[in-house]
Amino acid sequence: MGAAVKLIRDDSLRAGQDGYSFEVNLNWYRSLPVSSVDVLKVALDDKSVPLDQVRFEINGHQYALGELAERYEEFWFVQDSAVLKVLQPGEVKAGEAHRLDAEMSLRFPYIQIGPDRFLTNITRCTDTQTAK
Amino acid sequence: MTKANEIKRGVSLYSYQEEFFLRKMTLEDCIAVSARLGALGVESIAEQMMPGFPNLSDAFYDSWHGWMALYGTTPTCHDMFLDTKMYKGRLMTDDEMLASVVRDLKHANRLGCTVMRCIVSTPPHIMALAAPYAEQYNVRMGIEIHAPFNFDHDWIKAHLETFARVGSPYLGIIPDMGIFEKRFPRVRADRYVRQGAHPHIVQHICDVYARHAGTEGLVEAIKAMGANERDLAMAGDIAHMTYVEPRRLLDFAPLIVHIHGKFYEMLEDGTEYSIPYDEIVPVLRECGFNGYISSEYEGNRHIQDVFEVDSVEQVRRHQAMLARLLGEA
Repeated sequence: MGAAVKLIRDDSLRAGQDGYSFEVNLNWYRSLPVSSVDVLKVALDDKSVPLDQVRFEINGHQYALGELAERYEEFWFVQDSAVLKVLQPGEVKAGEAHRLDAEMSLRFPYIQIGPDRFLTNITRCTDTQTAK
Repeated sequence: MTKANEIKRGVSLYSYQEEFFLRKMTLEDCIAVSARLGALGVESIAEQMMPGFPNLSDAFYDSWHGWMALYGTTPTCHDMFLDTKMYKGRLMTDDEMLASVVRDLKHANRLGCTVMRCIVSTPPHIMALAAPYAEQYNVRMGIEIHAPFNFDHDWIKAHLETFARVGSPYLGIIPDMGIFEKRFPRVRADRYVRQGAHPHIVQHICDVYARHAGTEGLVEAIKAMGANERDLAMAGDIAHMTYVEPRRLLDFAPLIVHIHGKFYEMLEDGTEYSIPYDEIVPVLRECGFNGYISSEYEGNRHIQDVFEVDSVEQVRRHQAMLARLLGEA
């Protein structure tokens, strides 16, 4: 895919008991093992979120970001969105508008561009959404 | 002697990636529309359109064969990937690579495909090790000859030498027609202009590319013209593009197992802007090739920022062009 894929899915911000979440789209034309995915940055209203408070959810499974590199049998399918969950209760309440920032990288495990170097695309997105 | 209609028309479902991603078309829709366009050979990418791969259910394969029967289509080629950088901190071992290739050969066989596209990064010795399995599953493996590689690169030569040594009819090549890029694709040039490149510099780069006489001094020349970062990025693209004289295909004719009919922009007059199909198809007939040419539309990514992508119309035009060049009535 490419430039037209918006990383943060429209209208996906949700407030929950244990924090808030929003969804992200896969910016590539084929599914990738989750071991190829990295979350580089999440920010709420221009304040960076410590990444150890972020969880990545796909296919009904939830992972701490540090676990992703080991999850090579879990695939992120092109049509599915993944959920980024931030374990910060009370930061986002239903009905509130918030500015979200996300930055993710996808390493394409089949496109080698040098000794132990593989093509890696970084996608960033900023979006203001009203939580549900 | 060449005979009409020995070459068959097909499509790679890669062509419809935009509509599939946006959920405007399902896998079945992609097959149905291909049949309607006369692209009766279906090439597929499991990682793109078959959720759950590599663990697909029997029910999925039953549906697949049901669609082939319903729409009168034939499975042609499975496009495999080799995710060598899947594991943390290390590359796949030879045993793991071979296991991955065999896994894909089994999948191709279950789909009913008789060809498997091997991604260009597949090492030659892994192709050799997999040859007996390819025979077992009756799936010919073709290494994809895809820009920036062409027949003269050491990596491709190593493959060709390996195939000659092994001597298996199950090892071959799948030339991607993007190696015959005669002109710089207009959809890509236009996109650079939209991103802020200078129109006169973009034109200069297109002119230099079209001469196929090398790009020595190009960067200095466009810097002197006031090039910005986008102009320089476009000049850099040329390093990843190739123009091979189409008659080179004749040297490799017995090895061709399948053709990727790459295209970026089909014009209303039934020609491709940058790839000279009117020169290529007669050569393929002269080669005695009797497999499938799969239409493979890749212009989507260059226009999606401003236009609604209509992959089906682009494939329709490409198929009409192939039918004309193949002498179909």
